[in-house]
Amino acid sequence: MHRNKLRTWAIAAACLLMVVGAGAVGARAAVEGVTRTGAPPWLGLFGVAIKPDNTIFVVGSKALLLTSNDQGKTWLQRTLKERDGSVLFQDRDLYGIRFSPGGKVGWIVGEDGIVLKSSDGGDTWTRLKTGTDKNLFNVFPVDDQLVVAVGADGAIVRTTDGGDHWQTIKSPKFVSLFGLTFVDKNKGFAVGEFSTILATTDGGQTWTVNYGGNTGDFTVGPYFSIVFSDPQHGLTSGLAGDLLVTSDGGKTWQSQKLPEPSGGYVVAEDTSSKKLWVAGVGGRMFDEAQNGQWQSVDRTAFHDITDMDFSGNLGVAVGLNGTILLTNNAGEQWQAVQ
Amino acid sequence: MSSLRIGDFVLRFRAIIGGILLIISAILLYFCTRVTVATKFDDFFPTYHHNVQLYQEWHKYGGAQTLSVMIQVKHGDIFNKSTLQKIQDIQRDVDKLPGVDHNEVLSLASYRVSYAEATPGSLNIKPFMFPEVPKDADGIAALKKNVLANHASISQFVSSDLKSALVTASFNERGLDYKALFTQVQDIVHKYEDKNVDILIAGEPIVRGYGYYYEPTVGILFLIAIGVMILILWLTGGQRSRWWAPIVTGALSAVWGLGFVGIMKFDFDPVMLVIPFILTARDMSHGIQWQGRYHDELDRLGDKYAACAATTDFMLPPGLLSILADISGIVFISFGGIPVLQHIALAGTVWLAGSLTMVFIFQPILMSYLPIPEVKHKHSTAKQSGMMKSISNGLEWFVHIPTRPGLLRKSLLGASAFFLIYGIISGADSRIGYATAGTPLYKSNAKVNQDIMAVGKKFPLEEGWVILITPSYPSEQSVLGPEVLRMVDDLRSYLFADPKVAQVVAFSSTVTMPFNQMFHYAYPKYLAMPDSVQMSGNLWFLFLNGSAPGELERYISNRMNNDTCIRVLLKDHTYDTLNEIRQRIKDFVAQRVTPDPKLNQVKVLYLAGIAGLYLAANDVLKQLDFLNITFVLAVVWMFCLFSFRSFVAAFMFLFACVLANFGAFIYMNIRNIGLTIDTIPVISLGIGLGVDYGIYMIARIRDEVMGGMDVDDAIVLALKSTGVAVFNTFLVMIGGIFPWIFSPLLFHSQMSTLLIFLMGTNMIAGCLVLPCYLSWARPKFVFGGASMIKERELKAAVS
Repeated sequence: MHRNKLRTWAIAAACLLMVVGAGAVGARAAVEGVTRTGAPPWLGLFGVAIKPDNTIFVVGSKALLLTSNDQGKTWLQRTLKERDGSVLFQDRDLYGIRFSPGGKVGWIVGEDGIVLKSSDGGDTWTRLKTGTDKNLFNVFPVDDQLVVAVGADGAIVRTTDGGDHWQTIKSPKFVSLFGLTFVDKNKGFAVGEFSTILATTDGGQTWTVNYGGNTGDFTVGPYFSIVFSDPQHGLTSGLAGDLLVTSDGGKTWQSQKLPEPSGGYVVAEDTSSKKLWVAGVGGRMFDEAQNGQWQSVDRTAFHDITDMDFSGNLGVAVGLNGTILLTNNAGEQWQAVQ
Repeated sequence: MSSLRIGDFVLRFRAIIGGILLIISAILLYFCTRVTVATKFDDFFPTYHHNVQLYQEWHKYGGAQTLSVMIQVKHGDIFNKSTLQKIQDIQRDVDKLPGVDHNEVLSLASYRVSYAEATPGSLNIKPFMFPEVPKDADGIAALKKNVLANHASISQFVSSDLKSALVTASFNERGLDYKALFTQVQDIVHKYEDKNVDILIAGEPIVRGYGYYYEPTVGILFLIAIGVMILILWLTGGQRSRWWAPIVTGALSAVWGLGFVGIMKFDFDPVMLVIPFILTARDMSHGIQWQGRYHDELDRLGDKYAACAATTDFMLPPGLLSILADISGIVFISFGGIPVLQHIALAGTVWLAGSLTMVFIFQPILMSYLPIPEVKHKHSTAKQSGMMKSISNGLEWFVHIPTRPGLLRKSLLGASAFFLIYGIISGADSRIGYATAGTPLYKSNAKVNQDIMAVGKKFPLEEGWVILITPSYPSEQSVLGPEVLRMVDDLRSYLFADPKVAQVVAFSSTVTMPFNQMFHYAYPKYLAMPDSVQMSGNLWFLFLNGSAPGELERYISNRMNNDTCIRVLLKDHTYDTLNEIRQRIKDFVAQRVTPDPKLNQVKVLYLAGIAGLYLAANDVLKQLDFLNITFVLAVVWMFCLFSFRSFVAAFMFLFACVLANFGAFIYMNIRNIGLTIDTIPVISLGIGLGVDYGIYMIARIRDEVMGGMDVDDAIVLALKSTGVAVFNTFLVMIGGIFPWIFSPLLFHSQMSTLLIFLMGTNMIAGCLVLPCYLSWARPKFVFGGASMIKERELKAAVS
């Protein structure tokens, strides 16, 4: 009996040691990169995503990936391997990053049809073959398996098995698509040139023109980004302060205007405060007040903002020339990361 | 003909020889008046070096002579009517400067500094602030927003803190009048400076221009130095009449040297004025040596003709050796292929050859025509004061140091050995190129350096060019090919990782990518390469039609689109920075360009521009310094070998030369002075200058021993006679160099201190260390070797 107890304790101790050892090894095998306090100012930043654990991921030009797990105080800079060759050959731009709900699976899209997937929460990334070489500007993971990306010249690609296989979906309009969102696993919207809004009701397998799309009218501008705060209420932004809102799930759209005639490249929702944001040209940012009016936020940057994301009180906006703006109070104040 | 007979020959035909020399001097005097004081920038870099040739070949991308005028406000920022107006006015005034390239005058107010703006259906290219300065607050606010939004593309002209603006201008180097340029630039400064606005100037034209600014001061120093030399000459040699003879021969040597400069149409840079001065002082020191020996021979022989002949016979061999050492010190600097050094080498050689002729041929002729120098006053030993007696005893003790065995002599020899080794180590460790961002020609607190530092903090001042040669458009590998454009942008990003790089200006990042963005609704995700060479060509065409004439040529020189210039703007031109950048480009080409099959027809050439020129000079200077020293030492060794017919003698002088002259490197390392185009000729000259002290001393000792004197007595006598003459020479040299320490040019100050240091070490080596060694080691070449016996026989046969 005594001997059995001892044996049990020994086995338990050995297991504990193994666990600790694996953890240490894992820690030692952590991601390599260069630690810095901000982004290289000569590179553009195009996409940002905040995981549920508040780790911030930013992607940008020349296969750049920046991550921060201390709320933006320090950043780990990496160059992702998106093609054969040395690190100097990794020079394609990465345009969008999103994590599946839960934050374990990540997706990056970029130039030349690049799609990179991470299955370990963003530590390692693998390039997937999607069958397209068009620039992909945005990606939306509905869940770990169903992911859709859109891009130049009407490019739409879709996977239903977590990236092992991809379909090229025919767009009803040969227009570049810049923004993408899904309300649920079936219903989604994509926006792009010629004020086009495309809609899908089957999880992205087929798309129809929901709004605009007159490719013969060169006086209309594009829409760049779209967000739905709930299945009924959606917002998209375009050039010169143009906004389009829907309150009936996309059946009809109404025009609105920002207080300044400024292009809005990204619309985002702070899910905690339910506040909507538009940001874009020259670092301008606008938020929607409680009365539904749009108001301009004090500028802390002067370079174009390309993407925003929020998680709790933490918000991050990124843009050209290494611009990273942070808020820790749900957008009351923003600070530029130097 | 034996040197033992040259004296007689010269005197026999003195009228003819003297006449010929005077006629030559008269002709050369005329050419002296044709000497132009000017700076030719191209002459400072090695013509055969790859970087220099690249720069010459691609000169169409601009000149290396760039002037930077910084307008800096003390309070607020530049976005107010008054300061913006100043920027525009200064730009216009700079455009009127002599020699300016009107296509290369750029600032916030230039029509060529512009940004692209997309509106529905069109893409507009607009200058930031042309033709008018904004009239009201709204206009100024709009300008400020534009600048902030496009700051990446205008960072060369507006600083990131918005407190400074820059006006830059390139100049046509050939025929650039630095003096006029400098004066007019100073006028601009005085015109536009006020309580809130400072105007600061940087750039190669102004660095060279300051040489002319200080010309009057330097000229005064030159005259003071000449005066001091003459005074010392009078004080040390004035007890006899005709003490001024060395001044005549010195002046005539200067005429020969300058006349040669005039014939060859070399430009005379005012900063290098210290070099001809050293040569003139050098000549006078030979003249003094000759004169001193002449007086000795006069006292011995009592006949001026015999004295002239004998002095020539005795002084010619060591004098020839000494001047050959001086010539070797300077002639080898021409090997580097740097034109200004070649000019200095050639002119210096002629100057020194003139010195040889004047001192050892003309001076005896002159003295033979003049009455015998009378002794004006003699020192009376009977009436010496107590102090004089003490000094006399002290000197008597001093001259016996080499001959007195004991601790002092051993310590002297031991210390010399240590100094010798330390000097060699310092020489191997000598710094190349510029160690600081400013110019070492002037003091760090001089206005020119203060301005350079201030401008350099806000804007990059040094520019290196990387040139791409490609197939013509519409090849995928033309400069408009997407993969080529991408590679250029990759290079830009790679270089930016080096903190010494301030900016990289290339067609891809400055035009193609922004235009591609603007063409696509200004959507930022289109700030990228176009997806086809046709699209790239279309963007190029848009830019060409929307920009000012000459603007495209800053990036791509021709319509075939088969070459492009990438400008790397650096924060400084120090040796380390330049080498780092070159290495980074080299690494990039090896890792990114060469292995890429899509770039197999693209050639990458580097590094041109001013940064490339400095790099070329640095490359050559290290080799030149080593070669120069090696050749000088080899010449000294060889001539000593032939002269004394002894290997021991040759090596003895070799080590003495190293001991005395490598101390220069110790001094330079302590003072953080690098080997540059400016310092190398002075150092080279310095190496040859003092070696004759030892030669004259040893020659005298040897002569006395050959005459039958005891070795130690010969050493003491040599110290009392030749040593005094050497000391007088030393006094004249350092007396003439000393005023240069107070020159406003740091270069003069440092070089004169260096030369005084060298003269001192040479004198100690020649007058103390060598005699110590002779007394201690008793080498055969002095004390009865075969060479001595042969020489004695020759002398006996002649007499």
